[in-house]
Amino acid sequence: MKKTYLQAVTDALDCAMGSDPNVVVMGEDVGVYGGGMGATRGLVEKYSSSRVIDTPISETAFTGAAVGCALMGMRPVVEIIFSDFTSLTADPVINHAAKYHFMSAGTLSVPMVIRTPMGAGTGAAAQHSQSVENMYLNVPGLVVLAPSDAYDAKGLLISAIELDDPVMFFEHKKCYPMSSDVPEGSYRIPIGKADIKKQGSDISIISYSYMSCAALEAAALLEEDGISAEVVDLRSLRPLDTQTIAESVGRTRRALIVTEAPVFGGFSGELESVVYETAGSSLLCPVRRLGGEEMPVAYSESIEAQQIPDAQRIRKTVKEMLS
Amino acid sequence: MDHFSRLEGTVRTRQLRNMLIIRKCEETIDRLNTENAFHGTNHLCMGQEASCVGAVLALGDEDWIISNHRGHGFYLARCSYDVNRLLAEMFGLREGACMGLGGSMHISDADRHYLCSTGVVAGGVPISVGVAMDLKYHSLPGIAVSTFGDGASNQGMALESLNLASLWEVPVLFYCENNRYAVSSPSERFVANTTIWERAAGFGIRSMKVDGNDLPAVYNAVSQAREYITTERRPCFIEAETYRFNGHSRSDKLLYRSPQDEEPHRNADPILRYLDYLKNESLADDALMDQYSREAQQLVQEALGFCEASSGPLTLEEALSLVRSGVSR
Repeated sequence: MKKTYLQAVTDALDCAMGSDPNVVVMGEDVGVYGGGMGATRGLVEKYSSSRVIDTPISETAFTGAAVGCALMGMRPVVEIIFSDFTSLTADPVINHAAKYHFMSAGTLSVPMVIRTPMGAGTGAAAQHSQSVENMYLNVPGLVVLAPSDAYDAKGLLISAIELDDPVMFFEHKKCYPMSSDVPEGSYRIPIGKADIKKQGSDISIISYSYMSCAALEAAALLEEDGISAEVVDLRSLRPLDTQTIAESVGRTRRALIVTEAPVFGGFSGELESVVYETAGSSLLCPVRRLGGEEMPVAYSESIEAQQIPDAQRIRKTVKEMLS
Repeated sequence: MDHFSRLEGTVRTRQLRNMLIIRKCEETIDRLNTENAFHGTNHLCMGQEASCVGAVLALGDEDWIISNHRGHGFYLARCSYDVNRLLAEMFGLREGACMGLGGSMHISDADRHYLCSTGVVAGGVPISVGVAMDLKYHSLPGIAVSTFGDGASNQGMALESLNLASLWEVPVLFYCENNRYAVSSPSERFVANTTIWERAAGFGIRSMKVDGNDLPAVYNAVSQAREYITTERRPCFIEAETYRFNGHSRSDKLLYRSPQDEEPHRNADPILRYLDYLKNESLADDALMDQYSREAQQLVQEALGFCEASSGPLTLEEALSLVRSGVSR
């Protein structure tokens, strides 16, 4: 059955809450309002306000409270309405959630998920459009996920909620209205497994979240150019599926890495290293990286459109690499 | 209500011994610090023994403590005065409370409901609200107790947490030990309106101040707060006024206060005050004090022997296996 990415997220929350009474949803306006993007719509009516908990605008405290109830065995799913605002949750997430399992020598665990919409493309400008996932990738103890389609969003979110470790779950605003086949009921996408969204033989485009959608669009255009591009959708950023990356690049012998985040100091550098370390000897040309321009996201629609990679820029870069 | 005087005499005298165990333990750590015996820093609670011993005595087994960086006293009081596991942790040994991975600031012992402690000032306050949420959600008995200092009372997350706890009506005791200094910053210069307990009242939380160096008073205040929290299912706030005998941490040279400043506080040593109380109650004398001091010192000596006999720290591989649980359920 076709469902939007947004409905898939709601479905996942519904499945998880239905099967485990320890799962609660917390965040600003998650109740009757249905969440900042509409992902929690209908849940409070089904599960009551004791499990769909509206919070004041106090991201630090309610995320810290989520850490506390997770330490006790509950499974809070926290919604932070824009991933930019996870700066306010940095202390409970980075210093507490990510550390307690280790600091307690394994006696404690923090089974919590932070769900948060990321990315540009909606005119929300500099404080509501960032790709901050980079900042969480350098924190051992955290799992970082970023699905690109509805099927993965549901299966990965269910896996995230069932995991005993803290998870940063980045949803993309541009993906919310996109539809794909989503089965009814619970199913799980394994954490740490990339997915090849389109097979190809000339180049591997490695990306995640909405950039995988742009890469798929580019791959379709490249077919017209006689170029066969493979799209590797990472889905799980940490842990990272280096094996799928290595196998794909081993076959195609070219790699383009596409992120919405600016490349400097970011995850694309890590991905480039992985390609060189695992498949470097097979490369026919140097790895290229495409990322957002080194600037905050602009409000102006034309500037915003130019500063983030899109299908045409990906197509152009691939053609340069094959020329 | 004077709950304390209703306790058995043996229970009351034992608290003198308990305070002395903490004192001797901290004195030993202080001495070992001068020999650089520990790899990392630590934050001693000498001078605050009545505050932690009195508070923990008033708690039940079903209650949960969420502590902070100055947590040795609360750890010992909650965890059967297990000096062995505290010192082993500080030496980074596998016999430590957290197998040497947490260290002095990050000790946890969930089995004994010393859930966790944090090295981030005020970091445990929102966590305690979450623990109380869990207790309420599952209709479990018990309360969450967050211990923090005057410095933490200035953190936004502490004040946000008071708001949450009041709104959500969760069973949590905010226990603020005002030891007069946040690192080197005296409360009168860094806490606007130094009556911290009144801040909680602004959130509709019942709050009170207690002389944190008077063990019976601390016990009575926490007992009363606990009774209120468990019957009304509302949060409560206590500000316990005390004094930090040592510097903030082992590197503190105490440039911001003089021995003259310290003298009146040292003269009001909570252990000596409690000895006076016991003498007045005909429950102790100087000979018993000497005996308890020797026993406490002996316990610490034995703990040092326990550490010497340790099988050492975890291996890197063992530590790496503890970064994430990786378990799904």
